[in-house]
Amino acid sequence: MPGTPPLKDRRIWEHPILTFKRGRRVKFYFNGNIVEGYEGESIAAALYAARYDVFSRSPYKGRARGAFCMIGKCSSCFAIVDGVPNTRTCVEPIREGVKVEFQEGLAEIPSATGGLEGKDEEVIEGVDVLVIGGGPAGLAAAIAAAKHGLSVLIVNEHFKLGGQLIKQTHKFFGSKDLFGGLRGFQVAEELENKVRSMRNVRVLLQATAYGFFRDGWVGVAGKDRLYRVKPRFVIAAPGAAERHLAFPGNDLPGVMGAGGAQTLMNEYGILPGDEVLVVGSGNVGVIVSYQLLQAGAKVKGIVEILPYIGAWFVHAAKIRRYGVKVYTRHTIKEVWGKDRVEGATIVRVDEHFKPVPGSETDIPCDLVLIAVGLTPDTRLLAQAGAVVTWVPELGGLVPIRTKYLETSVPGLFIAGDASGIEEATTAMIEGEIAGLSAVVRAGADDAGNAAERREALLKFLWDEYRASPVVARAKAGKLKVTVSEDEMERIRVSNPPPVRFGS
Amino acid sequence: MREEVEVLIIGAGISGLAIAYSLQKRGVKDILILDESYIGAGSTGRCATGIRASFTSKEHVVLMKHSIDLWKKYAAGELGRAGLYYDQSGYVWVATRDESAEFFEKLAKLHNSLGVNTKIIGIDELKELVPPMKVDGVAGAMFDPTAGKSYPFDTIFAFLKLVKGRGAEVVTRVKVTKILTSSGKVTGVEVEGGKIIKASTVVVAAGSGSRELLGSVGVKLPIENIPRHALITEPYKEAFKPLVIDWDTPGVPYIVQSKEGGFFMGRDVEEKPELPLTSQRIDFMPKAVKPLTKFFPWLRNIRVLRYWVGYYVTTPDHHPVYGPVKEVEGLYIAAGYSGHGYMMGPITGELLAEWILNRKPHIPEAERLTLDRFERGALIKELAVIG
Ligand SMILES: Cc1cc2nc3c(=O)[nH]c(=O)nc-3n(C[C@H](O)[C@H](O)[C@H](O)COP(=O)(O)OP(=O)(O)OC[C@H]3O[C@@H](n4cnc5c(N)ncnc54)[C@H](O)[C@@H]3O)c2cc1C
Ligand SMILES: Cc1cc2nc3c(=O)[nH]c(=O)nc-3n(C[C@H](O)[C@H](O)[C@H](O)COP(=O)(O)OP(=O)(O)OC[C@H]3O[C@@H](n4cnc5c(N)ncnc54)[C@H](O)[C@@H]3O)c2cc1C
Ligand code: FES
Repeated sequence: MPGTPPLKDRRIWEHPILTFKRGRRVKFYFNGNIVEGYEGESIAAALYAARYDVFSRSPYKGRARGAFCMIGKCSSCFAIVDGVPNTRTCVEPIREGVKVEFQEGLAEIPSATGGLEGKDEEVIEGVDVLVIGGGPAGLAAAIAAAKHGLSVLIVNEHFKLGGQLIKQTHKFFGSKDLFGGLRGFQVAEELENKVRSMRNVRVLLQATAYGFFRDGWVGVAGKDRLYRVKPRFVIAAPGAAERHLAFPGNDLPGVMGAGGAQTLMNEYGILPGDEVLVVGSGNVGVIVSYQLLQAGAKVKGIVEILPYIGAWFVHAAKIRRYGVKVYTRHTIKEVWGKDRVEGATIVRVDEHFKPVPGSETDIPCDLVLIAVGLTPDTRLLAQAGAVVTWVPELGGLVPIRTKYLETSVPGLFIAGDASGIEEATTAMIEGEIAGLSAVVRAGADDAGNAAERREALLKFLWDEYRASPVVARAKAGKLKVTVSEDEMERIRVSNPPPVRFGS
Repeated sequence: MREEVEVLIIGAGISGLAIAYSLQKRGVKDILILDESYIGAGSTGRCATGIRASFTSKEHVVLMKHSIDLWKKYAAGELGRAGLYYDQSGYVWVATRDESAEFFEKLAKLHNSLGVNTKIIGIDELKELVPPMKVDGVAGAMFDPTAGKSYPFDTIFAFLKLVKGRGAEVVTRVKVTKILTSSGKVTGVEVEGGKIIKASTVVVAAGSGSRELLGSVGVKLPIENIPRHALITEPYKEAFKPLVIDWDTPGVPYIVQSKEGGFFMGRDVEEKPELPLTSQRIDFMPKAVKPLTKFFPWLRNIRVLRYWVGYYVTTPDHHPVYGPVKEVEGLYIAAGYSGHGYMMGPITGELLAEWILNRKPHIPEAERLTLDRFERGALIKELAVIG
């Protein structure tokens, strides 16, 4: 709107490489005060931009709670939204006039019925493939399956498609086939456009797959109704969650996942803090530091428990140019502040990683980012009865699978971070393989072509893409949990799957 | 793990732990408890937390009254200091049909005659007890003020702490595969992997695993493991205290608020016995919650956090099987509570300890609950088989 000055708060208006596409200006309420934001922002992001850090207090100790992960995985961003308590505000879009209220501990039971009266469960039967998660893995799977004529239903917990791609501002490597040269959010746009153009794909946003049930039913909780889905095949691509560390004050608003900060900064154009301490010097920690510097924040230091920086040389070189101090052999001891981080104490560790008393350093800052890795979100897969196993190289518990990405639950495939942490390109390749596996198993008309394409992808993935020494660790992890069809049959005998798909 | 022990108890649910506790109080020191899973993995960790004496058989009423006395005594003593509590918040039974309201009057009279002061309450009293309830269509209600609730994990961890503190060994992740006997006497058990543990007394308190264990010595235990479903919502501020029973909806749905604030709901839906606990059903949630929304419309806005399945280890007459197994000397059983063995925990402990130490149980009604009642055809009747 001409003449309307941009909102001046934590939003970033000048950036050396990014321009932020913002939607229409929207007014809503926080505790009765008018807050302005831009359409497309989450409630948590818009509140954060307006410098509201605390959205609720914890039930037992009354501790301040704000945003941590920004992608719906941690529940620290609860507030009351239009009368509904315990709403994760980071996966709830702002809308004109929506009333957000601070939640003081446990909420009173809601008096309203929230317009749910009379809305019965919708039963969806006869869909060929249910894709859980609309990130790169899920979207690639959906496209592959739909291209071969299968009907697809994508359910996505977030109100936007694209998953973590949306916050990825770097250019992808590799060939055009693999979106080389595009930035993550542009890849997300391409995938979304493709999916939206396919008539045999239905998309449900703000829809969470919550469980697998007897006779092959999958429960989905939508924004204002429940769905009961009975698909022929399921491809689960629910992504990953950020890891956290245990230290006093780790729940204080202003302690945030590095990915959470990336969401604010890269997706919404909101500066997550002014003076930042980053914990972890792997690629994510170092890249996020660099992005913070570009966005205008001050990086007070990066804390690393090992004697050396974990990130690849190319990334480490960038922050070195800015003169960011890296505290190797250090860990975080404590974070302090009242209702928002005011500073952190770090401490040196000895060769057994034990803190050395007396070696503490206090660092005043208003943001502490935790960049200590991701863990696959396999809760749903474990509930489905898929046999999971602990693989440190992949970030935690992951399902055992065949090379075609089928789990021990027949007809349930996995792809992307949920199959073990790698990155976006692998997520898309795995997604396509899983999608093609459903096509082959469904015996679609051109299943032969699909099978051929699948073999080519597998060859590329294992022999070329994962041949790079920098991904050797993840590759070793994936090798560990990939079993032959025969072995999988034996696993199914000793761990009978409670549900089965694919027949 | 010891290789020889005086008393070996199979199952570390509330029954096994309470038995060990009562034995220790009577001076038995050498006790080993084995459980094939984690503490609370059986029905105990899956139960609805309800405790009441408002049953319809004399045996149940008498035993439950004793049990409630013990709950209160335990909560006030060392177990209470270790975390066990009894929240005497009552049970409310709600009828929507006039015939049921009349039935309540009869039931209350029966309870009163057995010494349980259940009473008929009016709409005003109902609203006072359960403020956020919509009472349209309520034809009558009944209140049992002696009933209450407590959180099973607090209970069993309190028992566990004291029982271990007094020298009992509790070993998890060990499955007993066989009970061993020699010339009509128990000699010990064999565990998975083939190891043998000698014991002169073996107590089967193994919930849904009990039938198979008795089968290993050729004794038939007439129980069925029937899957029962339950769910709990996200927590809210305390809204009401009693457990509320919707008597006139088939399957008798009920709701109770947990100490954390979540609303726990259950309902009897028809199930095939012995289905695995991983066989969860998508229709349970609407089946349990929907009927309750006529009284609690705000439930529509509340999210379910967890849903799970546990076994009602059920006998033909819905009463437990207690005491010595007469075919095998030294073998005892405490199982088959048919859905109300959590509340019986304390009295189970006392009765079994008395039997094991060769005394007669101090409650004569308990003697009617031994295994041989099925042979003798001396079954007992119970009409109120709910949470
Ligand atoms: C915080 C974070 C930052 C990252 N940053 C980078 C980076 O900078 N560069 C890089 O190469 N890789 C990065 N990654 C790695 C990431 O692995 C890949 O880039 C890629 O996004 C993984 O794709 P995915 O489809 O498996 O999962 P995601 O992209 O995470 O997508 C999962 C989707 O599933 C939805 N979902 C989750 N659970 C359910 C459910 N139960 N029901 C319905 N929907 C559900 C989510 O809302 C989400 O939209 C990051 C990962 C995370 C978690
Ligand atoms: C949904 C639901 C709601 C309920 N609500 C109530 C209620 O409100 N009030 C009430 O009083 N009761 C209720 N009950 C019933 C109550 O839970 C049980 O009666 C009670 O917990 C039985 O306790 P237990 O110790 O005998 O058995 P369990 O708790 O089942 O313990 C038996 C233990 O034995 C172990 N075991 C089994 N086989 C072996 C083996 N071969 N070797 C080694 N270990 C073995 C198991 O792992 C288990 O831990 C409910 C039950 C369910 C399922
Ligand atoms: S769930 Fe919203 S910040 Fe983590």
